[in-house]
Amino acid sequence: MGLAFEKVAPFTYRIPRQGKMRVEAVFFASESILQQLSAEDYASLKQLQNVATLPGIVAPALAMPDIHWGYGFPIGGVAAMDAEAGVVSPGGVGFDINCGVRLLRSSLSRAELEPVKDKLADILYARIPAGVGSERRDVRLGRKDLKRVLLEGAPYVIRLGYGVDGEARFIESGGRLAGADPERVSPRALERGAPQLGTLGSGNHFLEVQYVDRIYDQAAAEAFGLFLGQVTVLIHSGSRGLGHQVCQDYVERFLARLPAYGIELPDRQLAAAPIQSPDGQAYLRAMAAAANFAFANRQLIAHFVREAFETAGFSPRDHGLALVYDLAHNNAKFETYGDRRVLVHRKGATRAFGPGHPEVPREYRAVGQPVFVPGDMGRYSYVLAGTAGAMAMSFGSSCHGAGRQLSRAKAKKLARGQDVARALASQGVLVRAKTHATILEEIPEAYKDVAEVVRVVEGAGLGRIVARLRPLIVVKG
Amino acid sequence: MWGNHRNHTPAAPPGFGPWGPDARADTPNEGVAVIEFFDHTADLGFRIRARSLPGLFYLAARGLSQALFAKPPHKGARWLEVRLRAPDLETLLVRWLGELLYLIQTKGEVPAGMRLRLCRKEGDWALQAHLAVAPLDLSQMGFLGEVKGVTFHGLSIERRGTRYEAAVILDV
Repeated sequence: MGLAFEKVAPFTYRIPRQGKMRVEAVFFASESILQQLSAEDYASLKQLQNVATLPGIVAPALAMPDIHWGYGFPIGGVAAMDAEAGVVSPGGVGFDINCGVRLLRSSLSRAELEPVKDKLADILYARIPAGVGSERRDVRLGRKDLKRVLLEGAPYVIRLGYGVDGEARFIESGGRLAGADPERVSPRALERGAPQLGTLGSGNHFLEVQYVDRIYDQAAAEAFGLFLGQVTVLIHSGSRGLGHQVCQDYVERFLARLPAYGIELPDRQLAAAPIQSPDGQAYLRAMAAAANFAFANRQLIAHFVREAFETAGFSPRDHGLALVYDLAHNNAKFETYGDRRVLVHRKGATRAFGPGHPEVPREYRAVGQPVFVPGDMGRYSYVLAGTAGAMAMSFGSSCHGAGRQLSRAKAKKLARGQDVARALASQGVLVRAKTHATILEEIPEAYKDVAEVVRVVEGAGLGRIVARLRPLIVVKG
Repeated sequence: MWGNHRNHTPAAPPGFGPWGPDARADTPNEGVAVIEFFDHTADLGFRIRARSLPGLFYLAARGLSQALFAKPPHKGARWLEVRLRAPDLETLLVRWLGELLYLIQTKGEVPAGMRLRLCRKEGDWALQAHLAVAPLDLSQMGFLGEVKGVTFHGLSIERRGTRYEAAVILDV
């Protein structure tokens, strides 16, 4: 079945209103991405059309160029809801609330790291629990402390000693979403999350030691403290079982309340409640608490990365690991565009505020917010900068990754018989993973070429390419 | 909290075997019950078909188990009882799989066998499950990857002739 859309600007396509869509939809793609969308029978664009039916959505419903088929919302979807008349949808945030990426820069060059690369890979793997049910035995917070994490996010764990004074301002929203209420988080969510603080998780979550192999925008790279050949660390994780449970709890709660709110949905995973209703407010408070857990989680992981570098023989002065930025790609946040206050849902999309925005740290304000776009474990990731174009076209949003092009089953089939870890090692990439299955599912071929995704982002004016990072060590769950 | 667990004595309930007699009456070997995994770009999906609702819920549990483990256990070390209620079958199925995920990923209890009962209760659907559970052993069981949640996306339990069918998408 086809889908009607038209090209309206370079790399920019419009799906006009049809059926129950309340607003038009816009997506960003190149010819090759269009072919991939066609090959999946436009399943993800149809999900975008479903998003456009939600009450109170402000035009347009959006999808970034890494769009792919999700559940409810497509991955890569952005939906801004009127703060007064709109709805909030837990499915528009996803199970992994406030999943995001954090980039650390170091004072080390690739050449300085090479002699201890193997050792560092083993230490990182040992110090940062990765896979399912992974628990930290060295971070045991009581229920009272856990609730403070939910209330205060990364700044709280920095105060406990897991970080450097002042670095919270290099985290989106200062590492703490306002309005969090731990009492809106179920006991089961707390139970699932408590032992997982400071753990990576499995699937596509990872920790990469990388080096800067190309600079595209010298001024922005200098602002972000990046230089050619520099060692960096990219951390991708989220709110673990705590966030997953919050999503599950509230999707069910909202489904039961749909008739009361008179909301009709094309897909139950889009379950939504009016933002200003008691249900909507309760979710937003629980979501903020889960988001704060995720910020604290990445903060702790970064702390243990620093410790791992020290165990590998680099003093703090030698490694100089400092936070470039930490950003989320699964959340819903109140923002103002023009004179309109909206709740922007980003499901697999990154906030990408442009130059001059007061929420961008002053060191970066002249060039725009840093945006990190992980690729795959064999090729590269990119650093971008937010633009005025993103503020005008996409509610200050950009892409969040390469986007899968193969299902996990297909990836495994393709990788069958290959020694993926050895092949990557021959290219200079050391992989440490809890399970062999994860390595097979995450082979580079499973993902689109992220270079194509960022080319579209830049071509459409949603971001500016700053630097490219190549992997040296990959730790996965 | 919607889950309700109770630890059992080590003895199995009467008539209880691996994966349970209710479910075994409806196994793939009889040509009726089916689990088919299908391609989903970002996540993981499977279709299930069975002759009875307990059979369908049993297959859903097996599908989840196959999504998580290459070698799911067949022998439990102890018994658990799970009781759940929901206003409709789809919500009950999501709660059921969510409960199993919680048991596996948080409690480290992996179902190795089960006996299920479903009935209507005061306008709700109710499920009672006796689970034989084994302690989680990632390497022994061939852990394949974490499942974050069970989605309602495209989920509907339908009766087609003598069969019940559903498609489940897991966020992985």
